[in-house]
Amino acid sequence: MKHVKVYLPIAVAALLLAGVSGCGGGATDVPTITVKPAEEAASPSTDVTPTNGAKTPGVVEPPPTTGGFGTFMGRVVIKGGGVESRPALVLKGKAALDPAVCAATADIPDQSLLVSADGGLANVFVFLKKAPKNGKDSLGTEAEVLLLDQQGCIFEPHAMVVRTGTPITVKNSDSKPHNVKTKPALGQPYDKSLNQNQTGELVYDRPEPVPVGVECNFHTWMRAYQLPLDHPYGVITKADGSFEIPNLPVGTHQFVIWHERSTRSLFSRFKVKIKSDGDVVKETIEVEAAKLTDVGGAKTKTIKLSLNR
Amino acid sequence: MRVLQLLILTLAFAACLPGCDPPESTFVYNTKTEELTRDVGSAVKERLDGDFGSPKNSVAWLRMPVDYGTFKGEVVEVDEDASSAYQFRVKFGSNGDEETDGEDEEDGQASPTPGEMNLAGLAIIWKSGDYAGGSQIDGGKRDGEKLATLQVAAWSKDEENGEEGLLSLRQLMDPPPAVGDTFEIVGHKLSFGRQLYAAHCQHCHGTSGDGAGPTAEYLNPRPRDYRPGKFKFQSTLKTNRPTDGDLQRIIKKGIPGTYMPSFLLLEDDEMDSIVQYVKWLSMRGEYEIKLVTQLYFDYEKVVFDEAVESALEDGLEEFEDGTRDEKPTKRSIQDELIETANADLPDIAEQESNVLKDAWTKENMTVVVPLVARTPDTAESRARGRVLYVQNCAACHGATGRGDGEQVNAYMVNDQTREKYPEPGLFDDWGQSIKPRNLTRGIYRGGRRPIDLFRRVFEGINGTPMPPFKGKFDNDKKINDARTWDLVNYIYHIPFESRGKSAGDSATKHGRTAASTPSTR
Ligand code: HEC
Ligand code: HEC
Repeated sequence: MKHVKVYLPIAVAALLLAGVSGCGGGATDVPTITVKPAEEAASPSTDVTPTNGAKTPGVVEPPPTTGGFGTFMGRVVIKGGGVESRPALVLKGKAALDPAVCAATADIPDQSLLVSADGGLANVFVFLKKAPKNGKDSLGTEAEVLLLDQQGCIFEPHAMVVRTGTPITVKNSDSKPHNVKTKPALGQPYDKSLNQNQTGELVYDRPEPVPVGVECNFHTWMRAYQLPLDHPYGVITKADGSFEIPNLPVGTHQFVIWHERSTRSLFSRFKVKIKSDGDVVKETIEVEAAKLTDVGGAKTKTIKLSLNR
Repeated sequence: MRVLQLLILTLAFAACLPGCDPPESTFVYNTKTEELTRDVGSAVKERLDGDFGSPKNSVAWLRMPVDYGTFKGEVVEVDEDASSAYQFRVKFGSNGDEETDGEDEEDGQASPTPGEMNLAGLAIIWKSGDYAGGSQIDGGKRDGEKLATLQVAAWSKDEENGEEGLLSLRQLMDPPPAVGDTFEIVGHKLSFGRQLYAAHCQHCHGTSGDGAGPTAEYLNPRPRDYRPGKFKFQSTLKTNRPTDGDLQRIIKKGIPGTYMPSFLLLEDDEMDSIVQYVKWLSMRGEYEIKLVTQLYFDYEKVVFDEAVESALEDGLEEFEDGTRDEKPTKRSIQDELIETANADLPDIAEQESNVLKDAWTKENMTVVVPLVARTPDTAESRARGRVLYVQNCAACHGATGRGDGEQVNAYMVNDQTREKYPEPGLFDDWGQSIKPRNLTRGIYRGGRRPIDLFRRVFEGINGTPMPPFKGKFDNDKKINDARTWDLVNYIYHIPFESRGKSAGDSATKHGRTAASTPSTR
């Protein structure tokens, strides 16, 4: 391949010439410029669609909420029972980098698929995209202090829901350097390198449509997911796959149910009807095991979903 | 091997041929935009086209912090008998000083005049007189939005007086403007920028700034795709956009060790126009990405079809138990869902364009300035730098700086797909395989001044796995910056360091490990 590389510059130079010589005639193409004011004048013609509050044709307006709150609870389980647990990410003593700290005393498990003995799926995000009407400002069940620790080259906790504007303390408990880097789809990214026992403050400025991946660039296996929301209606399933969302106002809600091993959301509009005050909606949400092997499965099928191409 | 070389050459020349057709003058849309269900996808495209236009019909959206270029002028003579006019005499430069509305901050400076410049196709907006505000201009509406769509057809400057001349328009003004009416001609930088970009940059960076021009596939690293709004070599914080000065520097100096050429010969006004055009392309690209991101998880084709199915089931149920009057059909359910998207889109566009505006506003950028002067480049300083290097950098750049640390063999996860990349090594946010820099060569892409290296280490390299190290070397900010300078001193020394010896040792001339191997770029 080395020889090829010698010729590459020539080829490129040829292309360059072609571009610069302006044989395309593009250079003489003078564009027409139109000015669009900074503020849109209140022009009625832009909105051909009914604005909020307008009635969708064919739908009878739901009866006005009588007030009151219910609970949505249940479990997310793998359909037809358990799946094989994932092999460890790093075997004990086998870390390529920093083996004295990473996987020093035990394997680093693959936390991307944690299934309990009876099929419960942990770390599933169950959330509403937008704050519900008449919602509360808190579920009353949120953690008071949010900490993202790096210990033994593992992010702890692996999954977290956070409110925008609420700081998460990030910490390195290891004697080797780590960094915490987020890649949100909409908001400001965060990236900070940390020495042992140094801390930083991670704050999300915008709610995100799906959980944000968190990585450490020193140890590529380290990953966590965090979902910033501007309302409290989002939780994560526990080790047994169970979850509970109290204080849900009376009405119909559409939940997003998301797990990191599925390319798409498991459900993008999971309907939950709270009929009256004190109503408890209990669901066992079954997930096909096949859906969860989409991502990083044994077969290296490449799904191009890049925003940049 | 021969065959392959020939093939490449032929390919390269073949690639010139499409370059000789009139270059495509449309912007391409993002693949994710194309993955939206058709109606929602078209709505996004319409928005985008309305707000930015096309390469041939570009929109100077004044909300965006782009300097599109403005010439201020005043009508000095109109044919008195005419009831309408295509052309009239104008004077540029010194108008509007009396009735400053407080918005023009550059009042002190003389307003620029177009001179011999070709003003054809630029927009004219009226600042005083009957046409001010554009409300009476008949042709002034497009897609229902109030726009100043009058355009200049030609400008011919008087021989003797450089500021006065005859201005003709493409549209008829009926009635004609009055003597004394003031106007602005907007967009010469956008127009000029587009023409220069088409001539010098497009074959690498692509018409849309997507980094996918016809030459791009032969290059490693690939030309920058501006659309995510990320630039690697900037003086500002990692989360900020680059300043105009940063972009100018990169374009003027090029990126050593890559195919990004240096454009030293551009005149100042050419440079300024190109920079504004690159920013404008980047804003358009990021705007599209953000709009689509907000809709993608509900309106991507597959998700949408599933949603329609389940909403139809629900709808039929509701119809059965009487909470819905009309029996829903697949079509009516689709329409309902698409209407929701259409109703949301204006708000989303408002929100994302304001976020972009803030991001590119100069006042919101922080330029990284060290709190202490560079530590003298002594053996002690380099030795301290070497210690920090081994702790913090060797994992990627390797113990001897050759860019061969352990990370070269690790597998990264592609954040877009949440899948491991099939090949080992590091990848940037554009999904391109990148290597930690070989520091033994002494070639620095983002500039070789001490301040450039300081900034690379302090803020990391945006869009790449190289993390920022600010605040890491010490909790005291000043001490941290002094340590960073130690590291910079050491980096400069790496090319001279003989393999295996430490920085404290004196530099040997034979130490250039890379000198014997040809540069592979
Ligand atoms: C021969 C191909 C080529 C041409 C022509 C070219 N570029 Fe580039 N450009 C590149 C490559 C390759 C890179 C990426 C280098 C890297 O990633 O280190 C780049 C990167 C850039 C960057 C990104 C800098 C950063 O900090 O991330 C900007 C801005 C840029 N080019 C502007 C321009 C402009 C403006 C022109 C025309 C005046 C131009 N380029 C012409 C190949 C080219
Ligand atoms: C996680 C891996 C990683 C770590 C850790 C890392 N770097 Fe880098 N570094 C990179 C990559 C990748 C690049 C090339 C980026 C590009 O141009 O695309 C780079 C580029 C550089 C450059 C070249 C800048 C230029 O203008 O060309 C310098 C200098 C540098 N790194 C210094 C350091 C120093 C000093 C440290 C430690 C304090 C460090 N790096 C730590 C990955 C890393």
